[in-house]
Amino acid sequence: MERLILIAVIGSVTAILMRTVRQEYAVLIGIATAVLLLLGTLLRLTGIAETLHRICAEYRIAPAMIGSILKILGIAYLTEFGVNVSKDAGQQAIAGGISIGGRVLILSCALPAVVTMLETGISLIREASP
Amino acid sequence: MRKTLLFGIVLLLSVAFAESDEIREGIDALLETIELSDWDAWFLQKDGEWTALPSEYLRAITSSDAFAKDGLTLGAICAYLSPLLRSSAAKVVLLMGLATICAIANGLSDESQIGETTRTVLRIGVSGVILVLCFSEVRRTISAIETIGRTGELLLPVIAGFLTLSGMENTGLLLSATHSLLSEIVLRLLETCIVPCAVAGGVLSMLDAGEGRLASVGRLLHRAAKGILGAACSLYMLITAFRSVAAGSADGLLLKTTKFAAGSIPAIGSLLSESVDTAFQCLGFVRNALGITGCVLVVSIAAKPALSAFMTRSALRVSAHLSEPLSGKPFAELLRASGDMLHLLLLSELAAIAMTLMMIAPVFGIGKYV
Amino acid sequence: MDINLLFKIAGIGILVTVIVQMLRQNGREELATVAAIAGLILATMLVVSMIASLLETVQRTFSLY
Repeated sequence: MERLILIAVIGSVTAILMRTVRQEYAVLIGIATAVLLLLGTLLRLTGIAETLHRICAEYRIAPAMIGSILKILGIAYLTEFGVNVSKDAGQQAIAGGISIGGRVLILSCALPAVVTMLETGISLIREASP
Repeated sequence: MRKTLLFGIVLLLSVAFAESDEIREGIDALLETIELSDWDAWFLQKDGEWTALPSEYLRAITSSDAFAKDGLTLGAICAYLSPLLRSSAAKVVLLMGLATICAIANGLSDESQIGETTRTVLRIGVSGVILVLCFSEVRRTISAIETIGRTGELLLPVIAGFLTLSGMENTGLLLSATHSLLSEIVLRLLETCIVPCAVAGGVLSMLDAGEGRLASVGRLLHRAAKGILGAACSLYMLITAFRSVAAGSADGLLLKTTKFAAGSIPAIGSLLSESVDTAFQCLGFVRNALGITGCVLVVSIAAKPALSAFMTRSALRVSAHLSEPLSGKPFAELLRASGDMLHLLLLSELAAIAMTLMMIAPVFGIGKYV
Repeated sequence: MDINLLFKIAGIGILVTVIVQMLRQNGREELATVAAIAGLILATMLVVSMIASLLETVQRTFSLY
């Protein structure tokens, strides 16, 4: 955790430094800092993903469901990252484009999960009714 | 006519006892008249556990050692519980993992719409996973309720037959009346009304997670199901309690007059009245043993699904509490709704067991009227 | 993948500034522009390599394929 804060602080200060000298390098340093922070966080997440997969295998929940949940999370984070980077560089239009693209991708990934859930719910109700 | 029949039976038995005056032989003779092969078949078919076969159990508890040694032992229960505990711990871990993922998703910024979309989609995905988890539990509970009804039906002929044989016709009739009340009205109500409402309520609340109209419809269904269950159980218990008091006192009166009549025969009166007492004791003993065997049969068949439903619902509730600070209210509401659904199903299954045991209970209660 | 990359990019930036100043003082405008662009491209390639490794990690963690 301390390493991440250190990276963030150093990165922000360096970006401000660069802004006075060469503005484009400030953007690049901002991107690089964000990438480093994300990498640091992701490495912790791998453990959780593996545990979930293992438990799913025990319970005969289709691993596809947990897989699609994780996939949606990944897409969301990448989209967020792209939007922020573009906004930092001052390009609102590009940010908007990435945001729309990300939403469409998430919905298309989520569709099978939603269908499965509705089917399970309906079959549960049908099971219970006389 | 009935009095004459009873008198004749008791007289025959007393003659037998007057000869040998051995309670043991009396009990054995009575045991011969009981045929428990149906119960054995049902026990084997439904994987009853923690006791022996019903016929062996009956023999064991009417034998000279006071308590059946192969009854419900704590060791057997613990042996069954430990894998169950482990699996529910694994379920809690799974749900906490999902909560963590939702928490991470909540960390996405609120202003961009990406966060909104992701959160909604993730909630639907998570409720899908939970539905799959609950599916087998729900199915098992529903079939358990049906099995309990079938078991009650099975218990009825043997117990009622024995009661009629020992002259307690009123209680035998009471048994059939209670059983028809139970299976036709109460259990039918459970199967057609309460369980579907509970499941539908749970699924609807999960779809909407806390706010929205679907969730309030779901909550309404849940509350309605709980109310109907409570009302049905209370009514059934009141009716059965009243009826059993009436039947018990009627039968007690009958038996007392028989004893008195036997005692007032001129020559062998006193001897006969003692034997009549012995005969009644044997009858009572075997009757209670039969009742206990019936109760044990019901519990051993229905206990497993009830325990596993309890474990899953506890896992869901614990995860709801644990994940509330982690991933916010909607996720916790989701888990709580599914926990409530399982809770209501568990309650209906326990109610079915309790009502079936209450149906058998008048069998024990006659003793104080004799 | 640690903080040295940040310093590398910052270092390239400062180096490019210095070189551009020197070239401008000597009156070579075009070389100055070329040097600035070259420095920018170098720094961008470093950042792109970092983004590539990030994407690979994301793919592995979330099994995105």
